[in-house]
Amino acid sequence: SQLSNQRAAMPNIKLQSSDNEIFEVELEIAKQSNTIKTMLEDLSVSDDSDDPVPLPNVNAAILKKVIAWCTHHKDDPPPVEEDEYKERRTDDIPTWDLEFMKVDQGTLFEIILASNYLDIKGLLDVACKTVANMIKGKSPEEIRKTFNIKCDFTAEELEQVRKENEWCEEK
Amino acid sequence: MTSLSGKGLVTLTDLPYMIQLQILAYLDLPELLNKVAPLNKYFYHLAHNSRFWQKLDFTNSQCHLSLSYLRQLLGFAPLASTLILSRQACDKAELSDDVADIVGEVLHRCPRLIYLQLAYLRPSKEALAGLCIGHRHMQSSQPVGGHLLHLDLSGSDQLTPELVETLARSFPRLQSLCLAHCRRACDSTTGHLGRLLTQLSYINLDENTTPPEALNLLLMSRTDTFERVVLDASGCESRHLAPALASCLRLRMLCCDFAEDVSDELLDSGISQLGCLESLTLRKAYRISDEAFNRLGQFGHFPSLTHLDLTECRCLTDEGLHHLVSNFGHRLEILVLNWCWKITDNTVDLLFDTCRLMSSLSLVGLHQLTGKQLPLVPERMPDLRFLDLRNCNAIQDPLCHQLVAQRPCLCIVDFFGFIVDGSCDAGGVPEPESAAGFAFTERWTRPLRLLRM
Repeated sequence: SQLSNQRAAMPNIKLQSSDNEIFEVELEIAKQSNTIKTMLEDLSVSDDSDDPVPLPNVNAAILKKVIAWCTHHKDDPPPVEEDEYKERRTDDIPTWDLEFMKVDQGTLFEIILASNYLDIKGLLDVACKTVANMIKGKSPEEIRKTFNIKCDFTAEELEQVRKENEWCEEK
Repeated sequence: MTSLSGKGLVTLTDLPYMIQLQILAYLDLPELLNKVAPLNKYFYHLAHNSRFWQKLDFTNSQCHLSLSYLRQLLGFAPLASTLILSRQACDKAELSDDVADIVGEVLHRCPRLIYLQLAYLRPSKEALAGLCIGHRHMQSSQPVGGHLLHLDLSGSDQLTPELVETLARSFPRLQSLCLAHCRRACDSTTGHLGRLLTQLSYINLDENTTPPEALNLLLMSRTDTFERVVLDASGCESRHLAPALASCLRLRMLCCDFAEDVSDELLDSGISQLGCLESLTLRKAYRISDEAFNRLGQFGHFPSLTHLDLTECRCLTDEGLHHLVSNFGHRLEILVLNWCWKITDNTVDLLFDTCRLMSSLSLVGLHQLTGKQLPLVPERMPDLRFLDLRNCNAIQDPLCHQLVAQRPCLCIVDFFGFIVDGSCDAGGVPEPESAAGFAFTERWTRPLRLLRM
C-alpha cells in the first residue's frame, strides 16, 4: 500500500513547448525521454519545482502527440540495446502504434525529430519502422512521388545504377 | 497536406543523416539497391553505406558475376560479416571461372567476415594460399579474418593438407569447417586439426580420403566440441570408429557416408551412445546386419531424432526397420530408405500409422512397394512435402497423379525421376544426395538468406 501511496503522490512536471504552451505530465511518463531525465538529474531540477522544463525544439502539437505515446507506453519494459547485426523486422508494430502513426508525413517526420531530440528510443524506432514500411513494396518512381524526392541522375547514370544492382534484382 | 508545425513541411530528405540510416536499416540489401539507390545521388550514397552491406548472398543471383564486378561489389562491403559465393548454390547464376580468384583476396576486402561459403569455386592453390597468407601479412596491424567462424571450401580440389593446416593456424576460432569433396585435402596430418581448432563443432569431410587413424584422432581430440560431423567412413573399422564416435556425446548430427567397411559394432557400441542425435545418416553400410538395426530400434534412446537416412543399408529388412519406426517414427520428419530393397509394404503400413510429422520421405528403388498407402498421405502425413519414388517399379503412376491432385503442395518424384507436381520447379527439390548437407545448410544459411527465392 506504501507503493500505491507513492504512486498516488507521484509528482507532476511541467513541459513547455517551443510555442510556449505548458503541459503538466506525470514525472514517470516524462522520464521516458532520456533527455528530460538527464536534464532533471544533471541540473538537479527539483521534482516539485514549479518551473516548466523548456523544450525549444518541439512545438505544442507534436509535444501533445509525444506525451500521448509516452502515456500509453508508460508501463513498457525499458528498451533493450539491439545488436547491430540483428535482422530487423517492420511487421511487428503494435496495433495502437499503427493507429497512432496514421498522421500526415510532415507530422510523422516531426515526431521522428522530436523523439530523436527527446531521446525516446521506443517512439523513434516505431516511427522509423513506419517510414520503412512506406518504402517497402514501392517502385523507385512511387517512392519519389510519396516523399517528393527529386531525381538528379541522368538517364545514363540511372541505367548504370540499374546495371550495378542487377545481381539482386527482384523478378 | 498541412503539418502540425507552423514551419514548412519536414521531408525525408531533411531528417538527420543518422536517422535516415536508421530508417533504411529496416530494409534488406536488395530493397536498398533496387528501391533506394536509384532515387537520386544522395540516396544512392546512403544505400551504399557499409553498415548495410554486412550479409552478401549471391545465391540465386540473377546476373553474370565476373571477377571485376565482384570486386566492385565487395568494395561496398568492408564490414561484411557473411559472404556466400558458392557454385553449387548458384546454379542459376553464371559465375565466371575467374571468380575463384576472389578467394585469395576476399579477407582483405572483407576482413570482418564471420561466415564464408566458397563451395565449388575450385580456387587455385595460389588463391587458397592467399586466403591464409593474407592473415599472416597483416598480423602486425589488425589481423585479417580473425573474426572467421564458419568456412566452407567444398569441392576445392587444389586444397592440400599443408594448406588446410595453414588455414587452421590462420583461423583458430573456426567453429565450422566444410571440406567436402576436397579430394586432396586430407592425410595423416588431418588428425591434428582438432588440436588447432579448439572451438570446432562442425566438420564435414565427405568424400575425402582421410586415413582412418587421422579421423579417429580428430574425433577423439574434440569430443568436447563436436556437434555435427560428416565423414567418409571408407576404410574405417568399427572397432576404432565406434569408440571415437561414442565419446562425442554432444553430437547432434552424424553422417557416415561410404560406410562399406563398418560392422554392427558401430551401431552397438558407437551410435547407440549418442543420445543427443537429431540427425543420423548412414550410407552404404552394407555390412551392418538387420539384427543390429533391430537392437538400435529396441534399445536406442534418441529423444530428439527427427532425421534418419539409411541409404543403401542393404541388410535392413522389415523387422529391423519395424523396431526403428516403432521407437522413433512418431518424431521423424525426414526419412530416407533409398535402395534398402528388402523393405516391403508391411513396414510402409507402419510408417503411415506412426510418422505423422513426416515432411520428406525417400523410397528410391524399393521395388516391392505397391504404393497402396499413398491415398492415406493427406490424413496420416499431413505435413508431407516431398516424396521420392524413383525406381519404385511396382507403384503405378495414376496413384501419384491422384495424390498430387489431392495435395498440390506435395512434390512427388516418379519412377523416371520426373516431378509429378506441375507447380514445383526442379530447382526446389532437395536432392537425396545432398541430404547430409541439408541439416547443415538449413541451420546455417536460412537466417542469412538475403535474396528472395
